[in-house]
Amino acid sequence: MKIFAHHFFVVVIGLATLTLSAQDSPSDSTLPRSSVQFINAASVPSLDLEIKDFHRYEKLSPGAKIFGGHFDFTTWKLKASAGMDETALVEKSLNKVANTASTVVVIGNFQWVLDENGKKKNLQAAILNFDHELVADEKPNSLTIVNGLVDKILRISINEAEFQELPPMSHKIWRGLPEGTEARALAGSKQIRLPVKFKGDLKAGIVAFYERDGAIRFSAMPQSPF
Amino acid sequence: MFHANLRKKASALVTTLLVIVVLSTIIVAFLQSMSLERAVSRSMKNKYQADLAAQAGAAMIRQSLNQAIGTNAGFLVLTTNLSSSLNNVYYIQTGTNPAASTMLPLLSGNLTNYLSTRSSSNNAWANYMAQATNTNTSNAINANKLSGLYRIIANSGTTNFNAPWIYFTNSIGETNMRVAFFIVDEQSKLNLTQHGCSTNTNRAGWSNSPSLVPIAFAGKTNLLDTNSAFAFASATNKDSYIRNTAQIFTNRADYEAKKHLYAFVSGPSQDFIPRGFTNTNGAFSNYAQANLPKWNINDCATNTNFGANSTIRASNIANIINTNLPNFGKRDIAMSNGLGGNYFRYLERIAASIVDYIDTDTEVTILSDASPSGEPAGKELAPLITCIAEKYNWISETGSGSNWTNQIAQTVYVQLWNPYQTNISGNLTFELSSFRPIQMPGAVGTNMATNTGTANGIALQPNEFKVYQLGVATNFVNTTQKSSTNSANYPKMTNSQSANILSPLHSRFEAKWNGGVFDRTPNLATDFFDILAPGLAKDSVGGSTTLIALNGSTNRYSINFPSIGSVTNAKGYRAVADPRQNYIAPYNWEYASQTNAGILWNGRNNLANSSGAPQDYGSTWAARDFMRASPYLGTSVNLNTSTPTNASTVWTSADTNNAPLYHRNGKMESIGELGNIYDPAQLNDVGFSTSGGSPSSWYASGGGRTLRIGIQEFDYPNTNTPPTASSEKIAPKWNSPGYRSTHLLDLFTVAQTNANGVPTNAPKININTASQDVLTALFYNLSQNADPVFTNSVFTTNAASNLAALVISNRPYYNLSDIYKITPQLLNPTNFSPVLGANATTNIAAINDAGREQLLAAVLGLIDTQSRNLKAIVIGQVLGPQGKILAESVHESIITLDSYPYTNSPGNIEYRTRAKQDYFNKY
Repeated sequence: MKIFAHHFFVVVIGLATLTLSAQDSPSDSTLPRSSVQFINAASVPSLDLEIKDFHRYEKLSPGAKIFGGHFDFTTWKLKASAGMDETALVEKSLNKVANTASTVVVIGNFQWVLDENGKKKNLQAAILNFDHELVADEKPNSLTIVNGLVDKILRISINEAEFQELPPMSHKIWRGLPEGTEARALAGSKQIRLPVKFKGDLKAGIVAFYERDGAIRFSAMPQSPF
Repeated sequence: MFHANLRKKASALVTTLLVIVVLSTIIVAFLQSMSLERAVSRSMKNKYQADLAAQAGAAMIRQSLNQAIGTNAGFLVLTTNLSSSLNNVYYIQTGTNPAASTMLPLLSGNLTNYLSTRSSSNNAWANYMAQATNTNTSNAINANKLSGLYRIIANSGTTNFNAPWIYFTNSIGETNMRVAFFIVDEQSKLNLTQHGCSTNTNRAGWSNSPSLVPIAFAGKTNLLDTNSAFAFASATNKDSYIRNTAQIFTNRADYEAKKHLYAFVSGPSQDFIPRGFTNTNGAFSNYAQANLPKWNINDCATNTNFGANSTIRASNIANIINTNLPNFGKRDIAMSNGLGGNYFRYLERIAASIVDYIDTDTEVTILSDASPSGEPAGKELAPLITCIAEKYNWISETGSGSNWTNQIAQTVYVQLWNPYQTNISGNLTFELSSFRPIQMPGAVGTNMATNTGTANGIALQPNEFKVYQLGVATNFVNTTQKSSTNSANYPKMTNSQSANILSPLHSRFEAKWNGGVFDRTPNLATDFFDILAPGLAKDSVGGSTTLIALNGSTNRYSINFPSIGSVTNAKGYRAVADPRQNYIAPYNWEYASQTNAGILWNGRNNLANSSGAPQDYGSTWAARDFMRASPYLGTSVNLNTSTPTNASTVWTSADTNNAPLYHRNGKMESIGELGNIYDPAQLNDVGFSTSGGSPSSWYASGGGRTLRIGIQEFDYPNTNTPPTASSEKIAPKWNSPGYRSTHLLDLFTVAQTNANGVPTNAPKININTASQDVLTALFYNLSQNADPVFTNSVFTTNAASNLAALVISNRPYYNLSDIYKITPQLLNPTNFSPVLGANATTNIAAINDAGREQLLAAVLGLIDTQSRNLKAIVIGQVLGPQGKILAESVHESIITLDSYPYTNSPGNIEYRTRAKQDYFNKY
């Protein structure tokens, strides 16, 4: 509830400023709205992302981020594909409650796992969705770490705590973290620092790991409520 | 017949007797003549022998000098007081430790025994000097003996100069001669070839001509009569006077009473690095390059023999400092080993500023680091950046369906300040790199375009602030819906943060002055910082609080200015609101809301945020180099509808006088100008290095300091108690041997070199030997003009006399750096009339740093700790078999000491010193 109260306050200030500076009239606030932002954590050279009946992004580079906003719809039909194999795609439908926001993370290398007969068994790719809104009893300062690597285990340490294993193509959410948080990720012998500061509106974030040119990288975005 | 014969006989007798008488007379006269001639001959022989004895004594002096000085060209000439009834005895010392093995008395005695035993006998010196107090006439003579009614040296003051006899024997072992001598330091006197009599009653400037040291001045009856002095000073050919110095005095008695204060010598002073210095614990530290010529700082900075470019030359200067003063670099504890840096970089930064102070270009000396453009480390005659502002305007929105293109213009403004006392002009190129994308719905996040712009023809008067427009960059943002219909979808940029992967990195800039980098934030590749930390912190722009509206005319700004850590922090200021803070560590750049009324333009801003008044230099530098007056405040402008360049101009010509800094951009006239060199030490107000930022960096507290040459060294740290906090490190005591800035005076000079590569000067006054009258003349009418507000304040005669007494009481001066002992009193504001800085309650003149430095700088070229012009008085006597004095000769000569390079047997260059007799007289 505190979050919503704060948000309401910000909106009021925003509207007050708007009356001074905005030239265009505000849109119809009665429309159902949602906001979705994207992280391309797919370990492929380029990713095509389609929001059905709305927009298609082509050749998104690894780590690319797409910002959310106030979109006049709450149903999102997503399709992500990578490259030549037209069958190598993943789809997901999101039916959002009005005025909600979420982060979508696309992971995987979009390679097929074959069975013993050489037939395509399953695609190493996924579309993950993380809603932003916190429920009333949920603690702020959460950090979601997504291991988008298809074959490497990540070992995550938060504030010097023991390392926890994060299997390939999985994620974990840490909640109630201190304002200054120092996360570390170990992939093999490579260690990656992940300093985070939760301050002001910044109360949650997502870090997604992927592979590019053989190197492990990450892309991070804050999660903001609608 | 009998009578006739008798008369004949008588007549013959008389005739005979007459003949006999005549002959006898002739014979006697002849014999007398022979006797007289023999006596004269004997006397001449004795006199000649006495001359030879005196000349032998003079030769002995020269030989002793050659032997005693040897290769110690950085020798000292000092004086000792044997007793109240005896005149001071001068001596040469070749080491700083007053050990007999390094000392040569400039007085006769058993020199052979002394020189052979002094290295092994602690008592050799005491034994030798004891001879001079033995007044038994067979042991010594008052060598300041009467010549007629007058004494050789002077008739006034202490007139006894007891000089022990040195006995000579002939080939058969009979004692037949003796000599006694003493040597007077001619550089303890006013030099009639150099010093003058000027009507200038205000001696201001970085380097006083020797002619401004008066040989006489009103009210000083110990010196020449002023009318006589002026007559002498105005004479075109002084040689005719000097052949008989007495001519310039009003009468013989006046001459005899004052002649000991005057000399007429022209042997050049030579600048050599002294042996070393004594540490606080009494241990002695050698300068590694002792007895080699001092380094000409102007050549080191500009001559390609010392390096093909300024970077190499700066490193060379740093090497000289580090070689001789291995602890000097550790003043900056933040850069010392163990804290993540290297103290040599501190020395290189000082050296870079020295190079830039001297060279005539305006390109900042770059030190290499991991960044491609290196570190712009020196302080050039270039403006300082005091504010950076970005203006955002949403210019257009075009498209349809889910394909919309928006243009958002970013215009950069940079405010410059010329803190120097001279006009500066040039061209500014400014590049701003932002690591935050413009957020709009459905837009793929990309960093904003790098913004580059140039402002040509910039001209800034002293102490003038002016804001310029630099680059305009248009950012194209593709969105998936029309954003102008919903204010929530207007363009926005979130705030940047250090050490937070969820926020964009701080922005960075690189500024070039006349094509050379002169300021920048630390760039990505650097040894000093985590890549997440450095740069310009940015507050959010746009979003719901400061909407960037689609009309192009309503502006939104993102503003930064260099600032401090926290004014309430007990640890003191960090960057001290100082745009001169080390370029690599601009701690901290404040960000300000464009609605903040404290944002002013074309002048300093006056933001009353948590950091106090960050550009109120007069306050924030109080604990560092004092600044007499803060620069003027700027003016505000409505940023919603205007730009910073629309702000009105406030600067007036009166503000020129408050320009705080002096930058020569040419050869130093005085080595004291080292006091104008920026000190990049990163310590807080109490002398602690503090870590700050996140991730923490030790390069957080700095700025506001120049080297202290003419001002007493900072008493850092002001406590002996090490800090308990792990975020603080205590620096070594700056105001202690090996750490003081004045040590640089022992290594560097501005004197031109002679054909032998030795820096030479007109003969200087030796502060170890000069009398109070001479030293009073040295300081008489001293003034300054580096702070143009107080140019009429002149050192009073009484203060000059007191300072002269202070100079004497602080002897000995083992090297020029020991002059630090007098600087507090030199800068006592009440010593000047009118009071210097107009504040008699302060214990140091409340004027700008440059003005305070200039007072000592003005006389540094006039003083020395050694002498190379000596006057030798030798008394030679010839003795009879019973010790009777048969003849005496007094030989007076001027001896000059000249050091020259010599290739020794291993093939190394060493500097030997030869004593030459320039002029002699005998009587």
